[in-house]
Amino acid sequence: MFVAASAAIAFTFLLLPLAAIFLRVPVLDLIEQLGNDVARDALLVSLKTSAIAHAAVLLVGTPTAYLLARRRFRGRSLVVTLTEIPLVLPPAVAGIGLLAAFGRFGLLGDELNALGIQIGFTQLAVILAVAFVESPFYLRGAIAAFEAVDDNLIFAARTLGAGPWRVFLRVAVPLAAGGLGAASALALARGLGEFGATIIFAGSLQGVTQTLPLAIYAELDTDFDVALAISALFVVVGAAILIGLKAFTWARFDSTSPSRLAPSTSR
Amino acid sequence: MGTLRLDLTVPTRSFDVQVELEVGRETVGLVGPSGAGKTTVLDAIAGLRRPSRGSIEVSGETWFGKRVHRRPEDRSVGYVFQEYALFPHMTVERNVAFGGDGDGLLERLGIASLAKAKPAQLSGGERQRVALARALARKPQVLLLDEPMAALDPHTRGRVRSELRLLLRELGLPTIVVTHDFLDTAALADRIAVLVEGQVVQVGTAEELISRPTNAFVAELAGGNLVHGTAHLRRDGLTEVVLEDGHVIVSTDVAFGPVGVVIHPWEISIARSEPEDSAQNHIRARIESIVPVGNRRRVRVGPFTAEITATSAGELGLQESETVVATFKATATRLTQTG
Repeated sequence: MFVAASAAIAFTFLLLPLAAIFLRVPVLDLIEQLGNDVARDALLVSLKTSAIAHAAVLLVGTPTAYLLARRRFRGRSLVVTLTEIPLVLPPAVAGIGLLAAFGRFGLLGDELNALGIQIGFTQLAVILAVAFVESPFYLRGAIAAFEAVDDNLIFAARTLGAGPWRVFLRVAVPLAAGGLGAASALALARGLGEFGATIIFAGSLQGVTQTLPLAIYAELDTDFDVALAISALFVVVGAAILIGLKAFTWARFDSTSPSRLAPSTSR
Repeated sequence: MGTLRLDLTVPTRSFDVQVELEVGRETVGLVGPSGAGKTTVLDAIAGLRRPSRGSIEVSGETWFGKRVHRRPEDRSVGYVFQEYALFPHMTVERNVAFGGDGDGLLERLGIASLAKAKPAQLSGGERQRVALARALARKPQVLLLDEPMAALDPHTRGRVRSELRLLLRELGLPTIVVTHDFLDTAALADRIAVLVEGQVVQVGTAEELISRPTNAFVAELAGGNLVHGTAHLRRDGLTEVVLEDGHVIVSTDVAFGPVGVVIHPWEISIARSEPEDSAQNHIRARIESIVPVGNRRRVRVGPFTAEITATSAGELGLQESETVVATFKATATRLTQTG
C-alpha cells in the first residue's frame, strides 16, 4: 500500500508541472506564441551558440576522452576528477569563474584587451558558458564509452599497421559510437538549458546573448504565455532526445549485443 | 632470410617470462598451462608489450633491442588473437582490407561468399578464417596465433585443425602457435616449446617430447602415445592408419601418407573382451607391463599405453602377458604428418 502510494505521489509530483505547461493555454496558441519576436530571437541565439559550443566540445572532447580512457599514467584519476568538477558546481559559480578568467577585469583581461578581443556580454561569452557547462557531461560519457572498447580490437588494429589516428577514427570512434552519441545528446540538452553561467558571464541581451532559458526568465513578467510556449518547446525537445536515446540503445542491444559476438556454434 | 630470433625477458605480475628461441620457416608450438606467459611472448613480439631486456630480430632487422622498440604498426606481424578480435562494425571484406590488399585471400581461404557478412553472423570456424585472412593481408614476416582452436566447438575442431596445418605449411612463414592443448600443438607444429611459469623447459618435436621428456611436467603434458603408420582417407570421411606393427586404427583427423598417431593414455580403456560400444578402435594385444602411478595404473598394451584407475585394474584382475582389448574413439586421436 505504502509503496504504491509513494509511487503515485512521486509520479504525480514529477509530471504535474510538465502537464500544467500544456494545460494552461491551448496548444495551438503556444505554437503561435513561438512566432513572437523575443521567442524567435532567443531560438536563433540558442541554436547558433549551442551548435558552435557543441561542435567545439565534440571536436576537442572526443580525442581528450580517448586519451584519458586508453592511457594509463600517474595522476590519471586526478585529471579525470578535475574535469568532472563543473558537474557539481552551481552554474552561477561557473559564470563567476568565466568572468574572473576572461572578463574585462579578469585574469586574461589585459591580454585579450591588447588583442582587441572583448568576450564578456557577447555571443562568444554565451558559447564559452555553454561549452564550459556541458563539456563535463560529454567527457564523462565519452570516457566510459572508450573504456568499454575491447583492448584486443585496438591492439589488432595496431598490428595491422594502423597508426594512432587511424585506430582512433576507424576503430575506437565507430565502436564507441553508441556511448558517444548518448553522451553528446545529454550534453547538448544540458547546454541548451544553460542559464546561470550565461546570465552572469554573457548577460541577457535580446538577439545577442538572450538564449531560450534567459527569454523564459525575461518574459515571466512581460508575457507569461511566451514563457509558457518556450517551456513547452523545451519539454518536447527534451522528451524527443530521451526517447531517441532509448530507442537507439534498444536497437543496438538488439542487433550487436556482445553476447551475439561471442563464439556460437555453427550456423 | 625468414627467421625470427628471440631472446627476451618480460616481467609479469607473478614472474619473469624468459624465452630464447629461433624460428625459421616453420611452425613452433608454444604450449603450457594457462598463466604460463604464452600470450605475453606473442604480445612482446607484436610490440604490444615491452620486454625488460633482450632482443627481437626478424630476418636481420631489429624490432627490439638496445634503444630500439618499434611500435606495433611498424613491425610486420600477422597476429590472430584469441577469440579472433574481428572488428564487429565492419564486414568480412573490410576487416580483411584493413591490414592491406585482401584480394585473393578471401578466395584462398574459402570465405569469398561471406564478404558482405558481419562477424556476428559467422560461425567459429568462419571467424577463424577471416582472422587469418586479415592477418595475412598485411603480408607479414611473422605469424602469431593465440589459441586458434579454443573458440571452436568440438565437432569443427578436427577439420579446422587439418586445414590450418596445410595452410601454415604452404605459407612457410616463421609461425608461433600458442595452445594449452598438447595434441593440438602436436598436430599443428613442427617443433614444440613447453613453457612453465615463464620458463621454456624443453624444445623439441612432438616425438622427442613424448619419448624423451626432460622433466616431470613435460612427461605429464606430453605423456601420450605416439605410434607411426601410413594413412589414407576412407570413403566414410575417416582416416585409416595402418600401424607399423600391422594394427589398423581410424582417426577423425585428415591426413595422408606417413603419419604419427598421438593419443592420451587416459583416452584408452581396457576390457577382457571386445566391448559393444561406439568406439571405432579395438586393439587386441598382450599386456607388456603394468606400472603404478599414484592411484592409477599405466598399462602397456601392444604399442599403446593406457592409464586406468588402480580400482579398475584390481577389479579386472589384470596380469602382465595376458591378452586384453584396448579401446579408444577415433575422435581421441591426433595425426601428425611426418612425411
